[in-house]
Amino acid sequence: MPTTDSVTTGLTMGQLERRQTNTAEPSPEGQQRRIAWLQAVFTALATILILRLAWWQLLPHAEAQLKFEANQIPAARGSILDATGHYLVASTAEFTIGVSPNLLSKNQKAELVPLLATILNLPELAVMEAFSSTRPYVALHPAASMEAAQQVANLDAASAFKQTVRFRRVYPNGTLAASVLGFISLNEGEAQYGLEQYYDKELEGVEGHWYGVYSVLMEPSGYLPAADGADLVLTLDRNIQHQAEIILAAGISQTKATAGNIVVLDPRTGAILAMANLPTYRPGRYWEDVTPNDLSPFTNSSITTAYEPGSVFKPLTLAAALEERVIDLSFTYDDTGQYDLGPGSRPIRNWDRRAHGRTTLTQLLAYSLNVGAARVSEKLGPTRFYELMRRFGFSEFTGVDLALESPGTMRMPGNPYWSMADLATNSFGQGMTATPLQVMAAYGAIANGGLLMKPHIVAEVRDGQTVRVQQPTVVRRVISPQTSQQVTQLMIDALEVGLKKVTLPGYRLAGKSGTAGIPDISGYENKDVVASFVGFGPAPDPRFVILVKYERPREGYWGGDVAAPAFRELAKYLLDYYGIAPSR
Amino acid sequence: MPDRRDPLPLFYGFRSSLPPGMIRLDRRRLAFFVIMLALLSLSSALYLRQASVAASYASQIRKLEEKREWTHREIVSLRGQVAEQDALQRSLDVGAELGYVLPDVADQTRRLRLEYQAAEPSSPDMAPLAEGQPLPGAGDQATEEQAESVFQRLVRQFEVWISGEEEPKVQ
Repeated sequence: MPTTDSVTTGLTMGQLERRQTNTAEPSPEGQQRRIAWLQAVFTALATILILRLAWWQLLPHAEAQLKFEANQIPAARGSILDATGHYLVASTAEFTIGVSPNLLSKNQKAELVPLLATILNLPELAVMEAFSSTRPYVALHPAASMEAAQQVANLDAASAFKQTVRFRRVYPNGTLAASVLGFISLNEGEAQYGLEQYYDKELEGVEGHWYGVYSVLMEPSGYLPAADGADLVLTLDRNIQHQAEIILAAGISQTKATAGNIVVLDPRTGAILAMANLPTYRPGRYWEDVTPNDLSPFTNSSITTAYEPGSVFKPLTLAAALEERVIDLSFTYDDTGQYDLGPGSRPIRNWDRRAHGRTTLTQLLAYSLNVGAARVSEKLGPTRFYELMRRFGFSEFTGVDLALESPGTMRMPGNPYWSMADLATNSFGQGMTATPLQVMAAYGAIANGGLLMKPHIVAEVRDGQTVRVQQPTVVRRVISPQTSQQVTQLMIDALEVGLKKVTLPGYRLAGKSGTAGIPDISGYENKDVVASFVGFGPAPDPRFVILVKYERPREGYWGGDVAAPAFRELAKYLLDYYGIAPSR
Repeated sequence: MPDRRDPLPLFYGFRSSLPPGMIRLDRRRLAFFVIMLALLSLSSALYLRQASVAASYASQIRKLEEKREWTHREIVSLRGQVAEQDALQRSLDVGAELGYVLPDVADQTRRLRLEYQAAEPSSPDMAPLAEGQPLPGAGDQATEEQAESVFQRLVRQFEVWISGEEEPKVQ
């Protein structure tokens, strides 16, 4: 039966059912359920995506790290130049070239074999072997030149080749100033010794990279070029260095010494002009020049090896006494050839075992009399003596900008092992140690009107557009200008009297020789000595201080005989090099 | 007053009853959908074009970056070559080949010796100058005066030329 509605509208039952089916509204519960499902699915997908991104982005990932490293751009290490602007160390580019043989067709391989053999200077057989390999990558050349790399990059099949750049150190002057410069270790690439080690941060530069590894703060960092290391300009002059090394090598050959040093310093600024140390090595092939048991050639013995300076110390003792006014230039003493240290101690004697009678300060220096130095130090007393020696910079670092400096040793009152015998022996440079540079700096103070300058070897650090200039630094005033002048005159006169052969006509050179025993377990019984000479010139405005030191000479013994000629020769060279006219 | 339920004029002709069982297509929605699709297509095309241009620039930038790196390596390599060519021993060898020798100070005969006395601040050399005595560097001052006179002369000539007078002849 039709319903009231159907009667009203005039529709049949079947039509009504169809209409109800067509116009049926979905139930709200079902819709909500479906939407909830969709939300859940999308939320799950989004969560997975976010977690995956976070996993790639935030957590360290070995594969990503490898990819990142592969895209690193190496920075070229800064150069080291001498005072005249010539390279002492530079970097050069080298390329590791490899090939993916499966990316080359047979024809390409056939064409490339002779071409690559010529470019890379390899036998054709080696190239053929590399091409016939089934491996995805084969190394062709470990250290190809820039020109070769460019030619390979210009090949039609360049995409089959992979080139990796690395920067190698070049030492154009071979062994020149090797122990001053240091080197970069072959495998680890670490800076070792000398300036390379001391100025490693400035020299190394900052690596760049190619691809976008986003930071945690989502900062993109696509291509970041490498920042090359800063260049160092030294105070060291390669001409003076070369001359110093020639003279030192000749001296060592002549005296058959085991080692030697020549250091040249500008007393006005503390600038190191030359620092020659022998034996030496080739920084570019350092592994061939030393044995594992003896790495001493690597060390810069002018700053790392403290020695007993011996009689070159006497002018410093006199300077201290004159400064403290316990003596004046008219001071004389009766040299009995022996200075007693009290019961139980061996007396101090002069080198010639002779008594020199009434002796002046000039004679004390000219004949290098230990008894006189001990007498002067006795008058000075330990407090003032050691205070002056401390002011001269002994037993403390000079602060030179080189790695592995030694401060030396000097026992002082207060030390339980110190005795008055130390004061006497220290007065002529025994029983204490100092590095050659410390002795140089102290002599520099005398030459520089009493001002102790901080030794330095780097004049400028050039980092792109920034130039950091190393200004001369006054450490302290050690003695007055008057004392400085007096001691200088004493040394000049002493040379005229005692070592006339060292003097140069027309120039006023001051200096003092030293012959110091090298102690061992038995004390000073052995015959090993350090023969040295320290001097400066030309007075009254000294331009250089020179230290010459030979260790264990076998031919010759005394510093005046062994080391003084080298001083004279180098002083002569420097006077000519600087164009200093004779003053008298 | 128009009836708001009336269809849009554009879709007026499409108003017709559907056969039973077919889905009724709302023309307004269809129009909206088509317009949105067109807009989406346009923006996609623009985006693709933009992306293409950006990719092209990126490629160019990448090439420039690579070129920069090559140039950087070349500079470093050349610096290394300069260092090697500049070696002291090489300079000495080349000098020796050309016949140069190092100065030998021992050979006094080859030295030009200049006798002079360095002027001390208290020395007579530094005493005040007497009246009328030419100052050091007086030559420079004379040159300046000369230059000034030339300038003044030019000015005078110009003034003469302007005024139409005859320039006095310099003896």
